[in-house]
Amino acid sequence: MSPTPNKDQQPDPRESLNDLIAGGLCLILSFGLAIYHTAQAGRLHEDFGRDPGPAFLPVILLIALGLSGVALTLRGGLGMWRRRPPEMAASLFSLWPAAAAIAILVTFLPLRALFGAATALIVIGAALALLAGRTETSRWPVTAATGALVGLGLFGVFRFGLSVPL
Amino acid sequence: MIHDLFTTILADLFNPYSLFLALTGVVLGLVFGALPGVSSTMALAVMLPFTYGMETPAAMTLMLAVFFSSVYAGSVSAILLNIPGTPGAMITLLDGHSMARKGKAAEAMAYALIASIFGGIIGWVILVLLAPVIANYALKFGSAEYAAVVFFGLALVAYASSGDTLRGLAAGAIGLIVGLVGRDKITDVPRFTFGTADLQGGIDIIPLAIGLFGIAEVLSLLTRSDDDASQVPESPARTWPKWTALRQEFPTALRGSVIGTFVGAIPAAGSAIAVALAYACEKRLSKKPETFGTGIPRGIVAPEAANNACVGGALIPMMTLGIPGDSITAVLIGVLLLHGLRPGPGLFENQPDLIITIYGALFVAILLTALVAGAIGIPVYRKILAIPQRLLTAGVLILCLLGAFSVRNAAIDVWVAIFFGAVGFSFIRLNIPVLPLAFGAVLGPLLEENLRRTLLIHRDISVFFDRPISCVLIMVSLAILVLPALFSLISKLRTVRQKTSSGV
Repeated sequence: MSPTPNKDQQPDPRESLNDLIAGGLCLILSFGLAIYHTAQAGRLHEDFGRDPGPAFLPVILLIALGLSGVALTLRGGLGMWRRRPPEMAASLFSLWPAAAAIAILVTFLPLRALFGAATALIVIGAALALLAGRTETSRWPVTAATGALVGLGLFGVFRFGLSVPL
Repeated sequence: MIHDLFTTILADLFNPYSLFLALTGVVLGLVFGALPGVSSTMALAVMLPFTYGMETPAAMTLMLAVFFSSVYAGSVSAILLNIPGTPGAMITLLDGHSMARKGKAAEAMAYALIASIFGGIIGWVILVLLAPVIANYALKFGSAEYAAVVFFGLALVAYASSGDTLRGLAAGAIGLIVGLVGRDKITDVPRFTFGTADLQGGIDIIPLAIGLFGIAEVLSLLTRSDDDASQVPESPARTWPKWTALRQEFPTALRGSVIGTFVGAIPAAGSAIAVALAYACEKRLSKKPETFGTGIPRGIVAPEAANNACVGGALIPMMTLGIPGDSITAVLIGVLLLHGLRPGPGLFENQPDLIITIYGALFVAILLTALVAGAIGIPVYRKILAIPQRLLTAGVLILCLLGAFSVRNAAIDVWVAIFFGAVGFSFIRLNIPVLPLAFGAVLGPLLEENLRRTLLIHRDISVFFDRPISCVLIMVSLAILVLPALFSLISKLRTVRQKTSSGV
């Protein structure tokens, strides 16, 4: 009689899902970059004589990445086999503060171009403080004002203390 | 010579001008080094114009003080904010930040300081006593050995970083590809630049590390549930570890220091490989390797001792051969050249007094770093933890943006930091180790350059196995990568066989 695997010995479905997602991303990245790399015009794929050339290591690395992607996808797929996938919707929804923070950070350079670095950092500081302090009991104008002060203070340190041309 | 050295050290300590310069350098290094994105090189570059009007010994006193103290201070942002200021602090955050999250931030910084001072002193002693001997050994490193050392470094990171090896290998491959973005150094052909001029110069490691470690960590904190203790707790009153605990870490600090000095002496190998090697060595020797990465002092002591011992190590090829081991020693060589001095064998023959002055200045810098960081630095740094979370989060993210921008005053570095922040956050969510990506990006260009140069010269890959140093390094690297997986497979097969035979 063959041994029945204990439930504890089976891979965690969340980890299997992670493998599946990571493997898929690796495959997309390796294929995407490989297409871009091979299609690149110019001297990239010329024969450089004894030098293996600038395309040599990227090709090896893209193959390695692709193989890692295949291995991760297979491992994830096998781990998920006949098992209920974990609940995803709630997990994805919990990511909104990170997405909001990235959206705020992305506005720095456009705001800097429009209004200058000091104003950009005041706005971003206030927005980030509000986001981070969303569950705190302090009043929102106070939170926003202190965040804006942090932005202004750090602008001062880098602009005047370190002479960074912001 | 030893007598002259002690006389010089005492003279520096009791000369108000030298002491003022060294103190200024130490304080500035402690401030600059603790700011994410402001590397030791940048700190030295900022100070360079101030040395124009100084005498050479005074200029070197100031610069060496900035150099040593900023290397230590890189661990502060790694421990408190999970942002390594330099590649040398990337390993420190594994246990340093974990320890801070347990409410022992001040103790973690104290361990880092003690290990840094110890490493600095060992590196200094080896520099003073063995510089010419080590310089000759470092010269034996050809391109094949360099390529093998980099491969060895990557294998060590795969071993040292926690998490799944397969995911770690994928992350390492992505990191190496990131390291190749930009114009190829040998043929000047652009790669993975997507037609943008901004990527032609490659991706700088500091914005990448700021994104991967700093921004990603804050994003991760923001998404934790509201009742979770997401902020690094404030440290209790005790800062300094007990003597018995310190004594236990002595062999670790010694091994880390020796590794750091010797690897630091290899031009371009850098502190990244030294800290990875020191950490992996301790993990291998430990009876509880699974505790590494959970916030244990040994995980801080090993990389910090190695990181600061690299200072002495990096000065060896600079002083004896005139070869800059990294960008920091390149700036120091610049200081000497500005004063009409060319480092190398001639300096030892023509300016023995200056050599002794430099050695003395480094020792004084180590002493003052210990005093200033211990008495003022750690108490001030720990106040950061008392800042409310909303302000700390806003402050750290803005610091990340400004730190990334200030590396090259380029907008592309801000985009790089934000992009890799999102990548690092995804990696955390998917349980993929981040460290191999960062190390791949650091070591990728070095690996490619030396691999291609070796093949260009020797035409045959067998050269790696014909040369003893590279052969040993490659064999050990393969063993590091393959043996743990093999042992795990054998152990699993054994378990299955035992269960089958017992009829369970």
